[in-house]
Amino acid sequence: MFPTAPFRWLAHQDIATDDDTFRIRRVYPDTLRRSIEEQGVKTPLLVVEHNGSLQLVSGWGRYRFAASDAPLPAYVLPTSTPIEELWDRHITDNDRWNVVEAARVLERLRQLPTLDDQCIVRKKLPLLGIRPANDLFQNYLRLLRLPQVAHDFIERENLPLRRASLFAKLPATALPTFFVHADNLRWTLNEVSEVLELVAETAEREQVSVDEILNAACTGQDKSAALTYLRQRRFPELARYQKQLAGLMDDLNFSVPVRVEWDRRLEKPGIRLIAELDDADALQILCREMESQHDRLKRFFDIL
Amino acid sequence: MISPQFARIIIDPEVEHSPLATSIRKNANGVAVSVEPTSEFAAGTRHLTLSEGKRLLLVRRFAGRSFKLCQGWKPDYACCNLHTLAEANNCSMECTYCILQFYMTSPHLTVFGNIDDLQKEISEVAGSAPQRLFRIGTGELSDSLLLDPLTDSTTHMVPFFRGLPNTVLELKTKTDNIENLLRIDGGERTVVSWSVNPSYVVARDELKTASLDARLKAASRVADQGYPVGFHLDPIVHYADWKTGYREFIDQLLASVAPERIAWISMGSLRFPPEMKSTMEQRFPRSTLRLGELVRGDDGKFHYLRPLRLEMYRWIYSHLQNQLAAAGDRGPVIYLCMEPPDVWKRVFERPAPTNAELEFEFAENFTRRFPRAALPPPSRPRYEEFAAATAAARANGHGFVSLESLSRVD
Repeated sequence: MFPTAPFRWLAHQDIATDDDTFRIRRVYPDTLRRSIEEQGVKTPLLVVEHNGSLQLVSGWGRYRFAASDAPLPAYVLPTSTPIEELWDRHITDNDRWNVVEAARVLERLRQLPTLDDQCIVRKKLPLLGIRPANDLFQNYLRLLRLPQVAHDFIERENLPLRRASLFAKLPATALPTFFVHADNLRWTLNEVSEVLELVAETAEREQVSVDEILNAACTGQDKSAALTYLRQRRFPELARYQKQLAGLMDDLNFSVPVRVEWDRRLEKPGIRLIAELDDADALQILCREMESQHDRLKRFFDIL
Repeated sequence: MISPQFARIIIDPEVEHSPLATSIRKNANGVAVSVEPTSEFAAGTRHLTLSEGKRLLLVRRFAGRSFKLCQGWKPDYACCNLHTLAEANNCSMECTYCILQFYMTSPHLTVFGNIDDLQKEISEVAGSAPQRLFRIGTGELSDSLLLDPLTDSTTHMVPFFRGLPNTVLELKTKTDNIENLLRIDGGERTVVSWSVNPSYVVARDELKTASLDARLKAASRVADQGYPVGFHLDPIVHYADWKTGYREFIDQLLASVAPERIAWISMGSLRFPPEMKSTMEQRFPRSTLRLGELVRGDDGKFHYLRPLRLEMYRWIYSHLQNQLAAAGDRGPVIYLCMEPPDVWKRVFERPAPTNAELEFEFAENFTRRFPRAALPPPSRPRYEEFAAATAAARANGHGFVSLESLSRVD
């Protein structure tokens, strides 16, 4: 895929960047900046001759971080190079596209008259390291509808498609509020994913606005309380059963220390009684009390 | 009648002279049919969405072993030891909860044209344990009757099963494609069963299927024709007014087919792998099934909360029992699908059967109630041995029935 001709050394000002057709990446890792500051540009850029100038195709980050007086290595592609080939070279010249970048690439490819969606799916998705499947293609394009605040987050955290797609569950207008709460409550990535699902599904179940749920959950609450509120609102029956079990547990009044546990998913049958027994007498007392509390213990099974 | 809207049918040269291929050419009704190697098409459809892929039908030879133990089995489940036969893969109907949208790696439909090989496989296995009743279903990876108007498959399979001494074919469907069946005498060796749900669920989550009314009307017609009928209340779905919905639905079901003609009724609640949730959301955004209170069970799948599941099973079973009381021991086997023994115990208020006991119950009930089938009288001790052989077959890791293990016990 890469040109076999040797690269040339170009002055910074010889490379034109006014046409940003090929400018896809917006967020660069610090490691790239530091590496270029310390060692200069090691990997040649790709430029194409166009109307007498040399337009930058690939290497926007390298160009940006390079010292303005340092010569830059670049492969110069002839003006006759088809635009589809320029894209192919640009795609393969940059690995580890994040999902938003991949979506931007696909959107730009759709504007080429020589490519239809089927062709992009079959030929270009593999170049981007994506399985060639129509539904995946559509999922990437859907990311472009997200507001900038979501793009910034996805790119900063380098989220995979599955997690990034969760933002599409909320209306775009609700995402700024979401990020305010996420920032205030310092949600982890896992918590962000969980909250997105909980809020979106609760809004759909109850036919209420996402803002209403987020504000009820997060305003004046700490992280733990907000998450508990959201889980209980999304799973009201589960919360109800758990409350009943906790109430029954409070009713049990053993004279030896006993902890009662149940499967929080209410999936496995039965309960576990964990008793701290000092001696055989304690065991005898517990057995007697369990016998006398039999009916109360049995009530657990009306719920489980 | 439910007809898939194929844009193209491709028949592999290996099976172009098979009876199924002949029927397909005859019944294609204007759809383009060509004879070409199907392997390259199969590979070339992977990029299609599921909905796009369902417009293509490949007819080819099944190269592996098509006769297996039901793949829904798990060590923790009480299991009826149903066997399955892969006649076709995939389905053009669009049930929002369908596992095939997660399970199948290719979106197109496939029919296996080498029906004689499938029949030979069944004959060998059934012949190796002549005292065992093999219930064999074809509706695991497809709908048993969806393609029948095109392939005439039942005109080959129903007489074939009638000719074997110890097998019952179960055709499981959500269609009303019964025209072929009405022209054949199944000799009570073919059970036509319907996967059914209240109309509310059918309308919202069983898209492109026959309506409940149409399914029950078809059930009534095949029952009148002499076929035993089965019903699978699966997946049972929880929704706001589910008790009213299921009560009316059960009443309608039992008004359509006399209990004496119902071979079995299964119950299973909604379950699906968590990874399928996003597929459901994208393909069927208006379906609310994924919004239920679903938790991950011990089998890794999403299920309704256990108390909710128990409440639904017990309520439905109680209503079924009330309605079937008059039939006494002439009533169907009622059982649970993919549930552990403790759920069985809580629903039926008796200890869960072992796999051997359950398989024997099926054999005993069916043999007694459908005498035209002329099946061998079942013996409980032998079913213990059969179940042990089946457990051994499952323990070998791939679920195939081992001829050697079966012949050792017969």
